[in-house]
Amino acid sequence: MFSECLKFDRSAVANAVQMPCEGRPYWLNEQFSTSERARIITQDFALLYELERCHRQIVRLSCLSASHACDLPRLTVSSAPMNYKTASFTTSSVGLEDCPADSLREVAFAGRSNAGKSSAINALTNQNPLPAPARPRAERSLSIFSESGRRAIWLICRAMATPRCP
Amino acid sequence: MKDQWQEHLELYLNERDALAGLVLLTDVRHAFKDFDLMMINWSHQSNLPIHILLTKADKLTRGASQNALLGARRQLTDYPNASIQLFSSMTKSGIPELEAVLDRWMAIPAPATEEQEAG
Repeated sequence: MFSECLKFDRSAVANAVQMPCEGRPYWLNEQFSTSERARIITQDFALLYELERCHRQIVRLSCLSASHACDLPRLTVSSAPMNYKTASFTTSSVGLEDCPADSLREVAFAGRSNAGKSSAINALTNQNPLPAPARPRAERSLSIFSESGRRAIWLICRAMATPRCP
Repeated sequence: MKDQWQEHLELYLNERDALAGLVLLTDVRHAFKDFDLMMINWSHQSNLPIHILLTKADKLTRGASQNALLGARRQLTDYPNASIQLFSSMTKSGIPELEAVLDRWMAIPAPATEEQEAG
């Protein structure tokens, strides 16, 4: 039934992009087994990227969903946005091996030295301010923030120093 | 040390399945530098969304920052995966716009490795 549901007409889905819809993403429904969920997620992930390329102007497009009653998957506006103000500093690591497991959603903040990475994170999270480094060019670590309720991890790349001019 | 870090970074950007998008921060008063262009190109080739924050927007007048935004946006016309906005940590302007982008990225389901509570 659900595999049928995924054989949709892509242009029809594209037309449905702007239809707001309440509720949880359908792959979170308890009736799916883990393996079904994995399959659905993989397929929808590819689709979402394709749609993002076609509809990049729809910036609030946020999750792909389908209702049980309808064959047509619908793209929805997320009904429960993240609360970034509750994110807090989790850990920092000097290399990939210290990073948390590669399972949650992550966003990397990248920028050259003094581009405002730490300040932006501070402004966004409104708590646990990152101290301004005494030697910005010496920073070589990843700082990871998470909002545990929503399983998100943010990551800052803090080692983008460009070589000094001679 | 730096070389090792760069290696880690490359590995991270290329291999990390959890990575939903890249936020690139760059000073609104300067044009894109080599590093910025490198990241924009890389994300394009990797098909990863990139959202650019033109930071320290409070340092320019409203008109000047808008001009900078327009100029930068013009440079991004060939990069459909890129979006851009003005941002100021000082005045907290641009935060709702950034949050909307992050919400969208975070809503993309995570790689299906951690969902063990099967129904």
